Amino acid sequence: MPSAIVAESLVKRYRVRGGLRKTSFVEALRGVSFAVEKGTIHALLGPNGAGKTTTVKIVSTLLLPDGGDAYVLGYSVTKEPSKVREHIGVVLDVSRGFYGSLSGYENLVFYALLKGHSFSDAKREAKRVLELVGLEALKASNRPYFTYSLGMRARLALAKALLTNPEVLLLDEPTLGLDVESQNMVRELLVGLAKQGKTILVTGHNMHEIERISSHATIINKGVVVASGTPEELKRRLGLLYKLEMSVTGSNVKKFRDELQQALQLKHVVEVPAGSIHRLVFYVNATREEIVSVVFKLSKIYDVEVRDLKIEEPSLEDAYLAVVGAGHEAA
Amino acid sequence: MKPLRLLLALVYRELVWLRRFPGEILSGIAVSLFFAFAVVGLPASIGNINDVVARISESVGANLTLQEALLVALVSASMLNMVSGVISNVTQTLYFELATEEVISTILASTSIAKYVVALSMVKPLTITLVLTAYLLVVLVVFQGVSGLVTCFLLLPPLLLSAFCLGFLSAIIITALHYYAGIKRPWIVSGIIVPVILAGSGVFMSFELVPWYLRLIAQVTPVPYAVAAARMLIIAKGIEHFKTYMPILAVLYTVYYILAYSSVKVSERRVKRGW
Repeated sequence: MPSAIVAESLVKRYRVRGGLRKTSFVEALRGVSFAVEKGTIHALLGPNGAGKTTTVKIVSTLLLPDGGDAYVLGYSVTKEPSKVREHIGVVLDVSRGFYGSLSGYENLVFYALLKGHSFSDAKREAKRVLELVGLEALKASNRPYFTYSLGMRARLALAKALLTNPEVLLLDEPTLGLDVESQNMVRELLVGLAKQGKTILVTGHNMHEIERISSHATIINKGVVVASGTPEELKRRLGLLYKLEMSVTGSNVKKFRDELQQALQLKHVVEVPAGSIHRLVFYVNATREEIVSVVFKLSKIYDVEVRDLKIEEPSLEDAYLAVVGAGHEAA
Repeated sequence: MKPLRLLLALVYRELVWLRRFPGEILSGIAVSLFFAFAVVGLPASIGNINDVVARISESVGANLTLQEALLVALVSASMLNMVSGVISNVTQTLYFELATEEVISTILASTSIAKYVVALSMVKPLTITLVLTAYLLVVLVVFQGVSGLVTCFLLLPPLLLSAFCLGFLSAIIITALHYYAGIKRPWIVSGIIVPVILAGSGVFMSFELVPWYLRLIAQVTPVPYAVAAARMLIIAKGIEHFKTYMPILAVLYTVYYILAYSSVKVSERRVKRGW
């Protein structure tokens, strides 16, 4: 499948002014590369300060990279920014960007006019996108923007991004601060748009949400890509086949845990002692049968009582934590 | 994007805004009318109306009738309205827009920030000035009949050129504050600039009573020339003011336009580099 967005070795340094004549640079991106296939939802993940927003700003032509380049539908963001802007819709902050005393409809008509529509087209386009994001149904399109809830503001921000029907959407944390209902609405809308053939690059922190909607993910940490691929590929590549959670009690828990770790080659062990019961969390590179067999064999040897055993396939969040938590700096 | 579409978008937004705030517009006009009539009718230290007229005549350097003195006061009040209305509105709107990346990204999708800022610095002053000084049309027609219409028409060019210059000046100031100084409350600055410009322009008092540094600041703005042109129009009732002050205002307009456009352009480049 052809790529709608391609980032090639993006480098970005921010100048930071220290005091009189003191200037230093902070490296926000150190050679970020990834590709987003057409008609897919691609998640850009990473902790705060990883470089996600900087990447989105570069792809949306708001910021110039210091090195590398990015392409949207084949157009370079540094050499052909106006061509890029014709094909993108951007949401950088769902709670800002509108004039408080104007209604949602009036705000959208203004932005549609600004995007070059005639007056009649602008009115039609504003109505179309208001219906698409469900603000018409809420009878909120003619209320002043300052009366909108955060959920309504998020819908309006998406509506603005959808004006002129762009092929590519760049969304920086579009569900940040939203209630569950609004989050669901945004998710459903994004999935629906991807089905229509739109390409969506989305950043976020909610891994469950990202896993539900995105077909690909790129994890950035400290300005470099640490992993990229489908959620399944990421998990496989990181060797995170199963997540094993158990509560155990007994006098030899420590020995049991060490043996288990050796036998199953466990990664990233988390131990939470709660009185005499120990809760253990492992990421295991083994099959379900092997895990069960080894756990029960060792529990008999070390006289450890297994109170609770849960084996589940790791989520994208686990993959993310394994990569970012382990401090990976390169793919 | 065609410049006409950009102007259409801005005019649409201005009209919607005006429709939302009829109370503010009416109170602006009422305060201005009250100010003008109070200058002539109710000064604190002068009891006799003829003395008031004599003082106003002295300050403009001509013998005025009561009606002319009142018109001078009304035009001065309209200048006050125009200066404060334009500077506060342009600075507030631009500050919000430059600080909001959502807005900037949408502006960039259709035009450059510099073109947008320059267009806004003209459209907003145009609507603000027309709305806040519209009462002059009524007053002039009541006082002068049909010739009042002509006076009003002749008053518009210096008033609008002056308003555009102030719009550009606001854009220059707000760009500097936003991109270089990082000031978070720009309306405080606009609150200082307005009285400084007005004090040095001879709107409140004659030039001789104003400190030289305030006069100097005001003289690089279009306001003293617009005030003088408007007063000359009312006193001389001709187009002399065009010959005397319009060239100065035209030069100032060009200088402010170039400064505003280039300062935003430079800032736009810095922002895109992440500086």
